[in-house]
Amino acid sequence: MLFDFQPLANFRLARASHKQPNKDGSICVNEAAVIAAGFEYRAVRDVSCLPDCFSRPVSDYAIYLNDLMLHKVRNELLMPFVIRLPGTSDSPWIEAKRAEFIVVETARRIVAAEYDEIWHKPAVATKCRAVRSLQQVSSVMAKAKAVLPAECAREMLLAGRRCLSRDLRIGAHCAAAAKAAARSEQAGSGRGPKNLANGYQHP
Amino acid sequence: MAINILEEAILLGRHDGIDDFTAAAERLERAKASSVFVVVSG
Repeated sequence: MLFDFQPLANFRLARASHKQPNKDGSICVNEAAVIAAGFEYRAVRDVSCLPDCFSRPVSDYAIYLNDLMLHKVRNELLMPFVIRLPGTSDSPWIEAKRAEFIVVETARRIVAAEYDEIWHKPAVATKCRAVRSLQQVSSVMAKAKAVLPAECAREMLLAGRRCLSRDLRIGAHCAAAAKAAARSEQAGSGRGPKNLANGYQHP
Repeated sequence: MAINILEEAILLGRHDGIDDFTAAAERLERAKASSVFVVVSG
């Protein structure tokens, strides 16, 4: 991104919703985005609290990434989205497509990486990477769970089912899958989360 | 990966964002300042 984020260097993003920012900032990414866009401050407990110009599936995902992300990387990775989230609302068709994209790509990238790199199940990982639709997410995650019941697959099974039922609140499950993958990597390597949910980090 | 997915999901549709980055930063600073005022006067 081309912006200089230095003016926001003293503003800290924090987990969960807040009644008001404290002197350090300490509000979540969506609350900061609400202020940055010029709206009156409000505590954002879920996407229903956001102005209409915020994409629901994108903001829902951002809320849970914000809450589940390690404190030491939250500011670095999510601060750019303070100015990216406002003005993202689009037609119902596009919003459904965004929700499906988040679910499918979480299965293809994050779940596949966990089964491959952590659990050494390359056949399962290959199937995850081949997923192209919500229907395939459900069937592949169910099969992955049967081979090895990883938490990320369980979360993505729930995300897929929710999205198939046209409920676009997929953020909790997708972010939980990323968090679970990071936790597995941390436990498996002893190096701390790096690539998976650190999935939270850029590749 | 998760951050990339978030960014790519935004790019699938409208993504006007905030043009005036300086104004956005000022609004955030004002919000912090007003919260200090609430603490001091409360």
